Amino acid sequence: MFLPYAGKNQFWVHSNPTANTISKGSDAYPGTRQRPFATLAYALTKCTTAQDDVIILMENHSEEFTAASAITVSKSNIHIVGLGNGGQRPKLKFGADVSAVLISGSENTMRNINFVAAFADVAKGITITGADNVIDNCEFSDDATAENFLTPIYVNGATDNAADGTQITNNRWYSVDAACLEFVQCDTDVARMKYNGNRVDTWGVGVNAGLLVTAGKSMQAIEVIGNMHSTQATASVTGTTVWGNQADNDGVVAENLSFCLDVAGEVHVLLSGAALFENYGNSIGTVSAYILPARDTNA
Amino acid sequence: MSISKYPDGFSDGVAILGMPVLNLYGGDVYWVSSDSGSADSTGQKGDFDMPFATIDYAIGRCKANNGDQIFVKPRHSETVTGVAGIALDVAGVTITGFGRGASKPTILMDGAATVTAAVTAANVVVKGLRFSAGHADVASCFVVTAADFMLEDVDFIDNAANENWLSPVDTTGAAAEAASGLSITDCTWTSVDAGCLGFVKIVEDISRITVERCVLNVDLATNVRILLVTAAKDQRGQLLIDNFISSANGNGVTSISDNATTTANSGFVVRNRCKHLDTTTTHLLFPAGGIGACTHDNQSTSVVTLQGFLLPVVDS
Repeated sequence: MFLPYAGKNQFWVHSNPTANTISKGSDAYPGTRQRPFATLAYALTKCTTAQDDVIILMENHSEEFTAASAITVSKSNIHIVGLGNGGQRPKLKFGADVSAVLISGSENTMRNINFVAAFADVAKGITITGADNVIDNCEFSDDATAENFLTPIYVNGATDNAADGTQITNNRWYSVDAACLEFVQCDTDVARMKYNGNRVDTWGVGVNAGLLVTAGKSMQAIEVIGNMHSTQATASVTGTTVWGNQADNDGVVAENLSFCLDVAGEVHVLLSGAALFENYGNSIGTVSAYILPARDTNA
Repeated sequence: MSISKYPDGFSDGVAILGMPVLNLYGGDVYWVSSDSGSADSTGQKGDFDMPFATIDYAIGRCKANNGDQIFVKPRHSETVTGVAGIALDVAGVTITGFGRGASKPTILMDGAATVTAAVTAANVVVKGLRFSAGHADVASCFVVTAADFMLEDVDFIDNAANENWLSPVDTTGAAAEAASGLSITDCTWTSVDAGCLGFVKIVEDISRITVERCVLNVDLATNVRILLVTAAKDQRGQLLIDNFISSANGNGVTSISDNATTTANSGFVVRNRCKHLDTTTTHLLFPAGGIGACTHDNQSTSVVTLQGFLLPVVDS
């Protein structure tokens, strides 16, 4: 109900015309709770970098974007918080096959927001190129049949390690589209990444992973802990939880649970160099998940 | 003495006792208490000092999709009768009770086995309340026919011997997928009645159902499970995690779910602990054909001197 915070400014945003006790937002307003802004993009222009300003997206706020980087968080220490539960949470809709949200600043937070695919096969949803940004407790969903993300979060960067410290935690992605791929792709070397507590259940049939590290890229001091991933891939599954092909990774991959339909020898965790503990996987619904890869034997 | 009130907030924020405080709700706020001396809600403002007398009255003051909040004071009690005796018919309302133990606000659902709280609007949240069955075999407490209903920290109890719930949460009447997004976390169901049936009754296809960290002490029930599902109904994106159920289920009664596998199911059934009285060698927590989900670390026991064992057997 209340959030102690250390920021300087707070800006409220509300687009939804059905709300009836608070005025419909307008970017001509001062951005207060009673007179909120209408758009997130405008609220961002009012924030100052490194002041820990807070943007509150009110219940039922909804915006749809069709341009790449329509929302660009280029400043630092901006905290965007959605209000409400379930379907009341603010919706940021992707109305075209573009990465409409770009987080290029550092130490920003996006929390309790519903990111909605409102177009078929949105290749990349959020693009993160700055350091120490957080996506926490958000939902990724489809707006309608055949409107879906392929990869909801894409971590890149002008140079390797530009996106160090990225945190993607406690999010949920549910889609029944067969084209869904990985939840997160890291297309750059990343250090100190936290990929924890995410729950992914898609009906993607291709070989895909919760966290896909692009071939040739490495992860240092990574945490991949407590995630659950379920896909409908049937063959040659090589990394339902995490996949990377380099040998110089380090960090920990622990207590993850994965499910697919590859009964011929699925691999759920592939990230050479990371410490592995208590990762379980399964491909048959009539039996319990088993530890995979196998335990060390003290030999 | 009444507390200081600032109903319009502070345009530039506020610091209280040295700490900036940010309100995390956008709608209106109403208070409910039976402990304020008012026999009914008429004439009450519904604020902290003059709360309404009933939850249903407060819901009637809320506006749809406005993020309105209803707070229920400790030691509030009310008796509800009739079908839809509480009408949760305003979308986006959150009802939060304060208090622990005997001070937890308690709603006695009484009068007949048909008394209900009807959830017909989307995105309603109920937390921190206790619902007591005041009649024998009350069919259900919450009848959910709308999407994204959330229960959190809610207790379901018997008011007296032979006054019990059959299924505290029930989706009867919901069209396919209409009750999707149903989420039940950190709730309890305690009963000594043998007639208890299912914690959640599912009658149609439903997606994104979550039952997590719930404790069901229904020790004398012989035919009870976490999910009671009509045959051939799909559950995509289900999360049944970290629940505990203690029952007197006999041979062949599946304690987690009776939902036979369909190729349209998905999700996770993880770390559920089931105590029952099936002493055969074929304990089943869900149908032998599977539940169409990833199953992990579910345990079963029917012998009080022994600990639970992994069921079903592990893959290889």
